[in-house]
Amino acid sequence: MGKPKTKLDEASLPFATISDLGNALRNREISCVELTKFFARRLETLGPQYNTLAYPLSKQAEKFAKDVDWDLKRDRFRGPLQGIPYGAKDLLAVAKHPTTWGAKPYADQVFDYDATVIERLAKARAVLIGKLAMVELAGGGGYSSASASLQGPGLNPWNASYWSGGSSSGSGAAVAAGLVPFALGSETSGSIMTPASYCGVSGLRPTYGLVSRHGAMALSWTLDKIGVLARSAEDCGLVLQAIAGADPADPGSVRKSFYYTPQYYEKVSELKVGYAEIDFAEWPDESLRPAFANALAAVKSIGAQMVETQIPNFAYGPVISAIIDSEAASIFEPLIRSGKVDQLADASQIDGLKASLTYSAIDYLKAMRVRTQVQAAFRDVFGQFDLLIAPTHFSPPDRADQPFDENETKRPERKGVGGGLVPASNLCGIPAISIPCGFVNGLPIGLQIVGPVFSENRIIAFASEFQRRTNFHEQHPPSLTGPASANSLR
Amino acid sequence: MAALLAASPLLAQVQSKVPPTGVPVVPPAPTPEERRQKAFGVVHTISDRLSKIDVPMDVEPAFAFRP
Repeated sequence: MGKPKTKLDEASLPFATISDLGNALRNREISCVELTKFFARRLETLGPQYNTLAYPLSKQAEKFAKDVDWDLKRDRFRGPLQGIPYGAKDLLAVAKHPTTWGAKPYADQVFDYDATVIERLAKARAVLIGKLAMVELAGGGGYSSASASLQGPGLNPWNASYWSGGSSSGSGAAVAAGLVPFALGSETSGSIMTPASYCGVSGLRPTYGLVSRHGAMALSWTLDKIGVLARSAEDCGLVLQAIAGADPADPGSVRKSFYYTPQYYEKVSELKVGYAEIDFAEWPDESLRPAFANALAAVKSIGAQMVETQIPNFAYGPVISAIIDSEAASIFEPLIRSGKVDQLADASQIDGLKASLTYSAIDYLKAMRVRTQVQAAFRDVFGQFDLLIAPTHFSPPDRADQPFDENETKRPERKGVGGGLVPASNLCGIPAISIPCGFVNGLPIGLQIVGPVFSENRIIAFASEFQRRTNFHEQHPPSLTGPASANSLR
Repeated sequence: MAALLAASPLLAQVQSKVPPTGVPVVPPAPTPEERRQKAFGVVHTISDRLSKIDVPMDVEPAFAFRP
């Protein structure tokens, strides 16, 4: 690999933040073409080791990068993403290149237009260097192992025996392995939060409708969101600013913009944060509890008003399953009825999609009516609290080479905030971020921060404060850089 | 056969009814019919659970019809 001419050395360059890379570009320490070639080479060389790469786009990226350099040489600065390479989950259309949705039946699918988010990042002069692997059809129908993908099981850069999480598997792993500075992912229920947690990166799921889904595969019209996986909460904010905004082509668009304004949230210590001790002390697997206790101590050191609470009690699992499965059955009805569904990699997913056709209208409407009640209950919650925090997952990732463990781990009867928070917050369409908050047996664990609709700046500000006090987000897989520090509190 | 088993630890593992220490016990893969029944059973269970939730008449579904 050619050594880039920059103050960021070859070891630190793959893991540099958007701000650091932007400074290096603007100061002409490195050209956009050099940076693009550097990351494209990493993505194409190391990506296949973790099954992160769906399709390389290095040729068009280099051409684009030359145009960016032309601007930079003339001091025409277009914003913080100018010249920054990135990858996009393969459920986003990129004109004239394959968009497979991670699934064999769509292996030859080519669109003649770009997804709105791809267009917006091009306008921000970010450089798309590749499509990233994903769980087939974003997991619609329910899958039983990491192998449910056209690219093979998503492998975790921290330990390739383990899963990188899904369905934005390649997005999480590519950021963690330093193959891209940031990546686009999507979430219907957990598909950004899970890979962010398992891969030790920051993953932001915006408010429903804030980011256009035009050109993205639909799994559930009322739940799908496009979001960001990046090195830090701040990087997530920079990318969200570029991709958010009204889009008449997306019927779910809320027609709002997002401006990343961390300066207005400097006093995070004045926020009222709902949490539950039990989420950190008793709900996690025993091996994870000391690390989560450590993370909670770091959260408390921020000085916000921490108040014990629990989330409203609803049957979140059945409600969100009925909605996702019913909408997915309608979306993929032609695939299922044609029999092409049998080409999917995961047998459970094939059966799940076929069975989804049997949901009744009554089931779907009941679920959507309960959803109304869930939304009302969470509006009350956010009348009392500015944010909720909890572990993103209570268990480490599953192994990548075996079926997922279906035996439910015994958890306490008493509930706190974390149990059910991922489906609940998705049902409400409210934003969340998962940030790395520790390591157990060499694998990262994540902390989720959830807020009311359009509270992205507040969430990012709180996450950034946590990241100023810790350096879990600055740790990188040892095989790619050297050992992770055991003590990651500053 | 005994000599062959002794000479081949891998084959011995396959033949042995007691899994060697430290090797995880992987349950037998479900048959296609078992998988199919399970998938349809999940839908039935969810439908059953939803039917038991009481929701007042004036609670409308969480999507808005726009004329």
